[in-house]
Amino acid sequence: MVVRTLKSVLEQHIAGLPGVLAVLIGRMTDGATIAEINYSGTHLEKDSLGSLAAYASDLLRANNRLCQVVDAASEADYLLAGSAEVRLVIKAFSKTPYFVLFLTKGSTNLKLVFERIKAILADGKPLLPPVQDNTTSVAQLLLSYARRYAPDPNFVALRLSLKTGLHRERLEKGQLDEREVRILYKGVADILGVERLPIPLP
Amino acid sequence: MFEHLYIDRPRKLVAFFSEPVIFHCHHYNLFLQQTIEDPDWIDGVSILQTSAQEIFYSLLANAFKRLGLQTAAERLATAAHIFSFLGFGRLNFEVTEEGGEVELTHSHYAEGWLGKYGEQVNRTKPIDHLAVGYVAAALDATFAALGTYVAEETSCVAVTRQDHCIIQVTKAAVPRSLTPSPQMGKLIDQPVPFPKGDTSVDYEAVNEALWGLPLEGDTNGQIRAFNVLLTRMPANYYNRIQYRFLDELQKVDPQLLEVGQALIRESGHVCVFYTFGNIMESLEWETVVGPMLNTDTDWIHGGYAVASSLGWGRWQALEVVSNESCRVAIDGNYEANYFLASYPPAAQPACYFAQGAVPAMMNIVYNGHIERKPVLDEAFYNRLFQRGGVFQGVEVKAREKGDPWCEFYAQRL
Amino acid sequence: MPIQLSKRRECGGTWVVDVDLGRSPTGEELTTVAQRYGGRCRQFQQLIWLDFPSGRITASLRLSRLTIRLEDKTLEAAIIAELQQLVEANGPACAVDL
Repeated sequence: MVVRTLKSVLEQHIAGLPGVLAVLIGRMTDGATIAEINYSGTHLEKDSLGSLAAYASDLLRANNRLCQVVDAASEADYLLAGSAEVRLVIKAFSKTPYFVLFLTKGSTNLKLVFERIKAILADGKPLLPPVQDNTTSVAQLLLSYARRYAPDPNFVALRLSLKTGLHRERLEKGQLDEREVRILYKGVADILGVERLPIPLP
Repeated sequence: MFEHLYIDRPRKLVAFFSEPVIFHCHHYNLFLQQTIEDPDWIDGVSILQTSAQEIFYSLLANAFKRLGLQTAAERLATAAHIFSFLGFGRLNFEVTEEGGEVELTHSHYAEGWLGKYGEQVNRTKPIDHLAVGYVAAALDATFAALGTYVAEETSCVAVTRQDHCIIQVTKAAVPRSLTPSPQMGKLIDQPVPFPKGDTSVDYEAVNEALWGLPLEGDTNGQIRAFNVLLTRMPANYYNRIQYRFLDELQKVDPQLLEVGQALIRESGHVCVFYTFGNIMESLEWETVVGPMLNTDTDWIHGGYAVASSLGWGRWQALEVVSNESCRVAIDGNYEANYFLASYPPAAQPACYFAQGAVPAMMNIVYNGHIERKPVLDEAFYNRLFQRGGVFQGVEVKAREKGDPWCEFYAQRL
Repeated sequence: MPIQLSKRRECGGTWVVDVDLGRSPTGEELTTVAQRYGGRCRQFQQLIWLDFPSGRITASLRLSRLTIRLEDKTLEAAIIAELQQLVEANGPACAVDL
């Protein structure tokens, strides 16, 4: 008997769809990639695919808030983004922090993409991993957010360490107490020049 | 003002009213300043402003004396002229002996920041710490003595995105005791006759060609050359902010000293990556250095021939192994000249800028493939690190520790 | 050979125009351009600067490429047209692709 996995579900439902560059299932709470298929060849490096899930999480969070501003009772549905060359379609698994993401060429038939997404949502939902609390600490979420949006991302951990006085090793491992997390929050916000970040403090 | 630039050819240094002056671009200026102003637990802004006041006081006091300027109007006009000549923007002084207001337009730091980061992040605090120190120094040198005035930027283009910045200057309640510049510092007595590397690049010919270019601020007080936004900065401003900052870290939290050092090294990396990357894609490079480039290792030599034309001292690649490693000597580095004039001999190598700059030259040529003229943006820079195999450097000989010259070795991680 | 123009956002945020003339210019040609538009032509070995009140054109006697950094866009257009004519006088018609 063949054991079904999220990856095999993805493989099954993208078969034969032209113009697919990558498909993945991600988790909005920490931007992690749970399952992925990369058809783009050298187009997307491994790191780029990882950051795709992280940026998609940010978009979903923003979309959730936006939808709630318009109608507090509404649930965010889908997101369409991209450029003239590539298209990004993201849809959440209802009532879970998980989502499916399709990256396709701009010419790919959108109707077909939505059909495949619908099938993945149905077949994939029973296979989603259980949601655990504190999978990633708030400190790690803050650091990861800074790496995505601050200038000079390769050095942002060093910069935050210096800025906050928190030692780098503890910062990178996310082993901070509540007071230190607040200091880190302010450090990230300062670097980005904003007052609030889309990451709730504990 | 060019007639007041003195080129010390044997040492490859440039002096302007007795202050060593060197070229750097806004990428370096911004990264170094950001590193120093970042920590909330030390007063980095004060380090930046006070150092500027000290170093520019020395420069301006010398200039006023040598030019025989007597009236306040002449002195302030000259201070504004020098500010523009060096590439920092334009100052308009509306001041008396009691103080007043100074308008800053085309600020190097503010416009540079907006160009580099302005589309990505907001800035909530003023950025022109150098100009603040400069304005206080200008009034010190015009009316009184070092430490008499204090200045503050009350409106900054990097924050407001309007067309000018405002700096207020007043007399300090109590004059501050500040430390003037050590000027040229501890110079080398005799240049070391390094062996000429295996290259067709003629360092001296490149030096002469670049020294002959009258690089000065344009009508906006900005120096645009080699595809970058340059400043001709007093070297001791960099030295003072760098070493004072590290002293402060050592005092307050020694465990974070290494982080500060690493970020200053990174500023050197940023500098070479962007400045030399852009230089190597420029028409000036193709014209002056291009005809001497026969092999990939010549690009490294060409880079150091240009570096030694910027007032940084005698930079010379001793050995370049293609795509593997390089060994670079610096005889009379501007960092070491200052360090030896200001501190006892170092226990550890302390030329942090050069420690970052040397591996960066290998990275831009062998990882960045600069000969293919890539677009030198932040995405390109980040990819360079993410792909791994970056060159790292170490200072293996240190004049500041007692060695006859400084030497650096870079190889892949 | 037609001249080619490409706009490039330079380090520091300003837009510049790179012009490929298809051949390297002569010192006389550049001096004429500078004089016609009220500029000053300065030569540093093979490197040439054409300085105008609104900026600088950097050229080389050994390269076909020159870089225009002028704030005055009317002047920029006039000089590009002049360069076009200059090359047309010595070769086939030009194509401009900005």
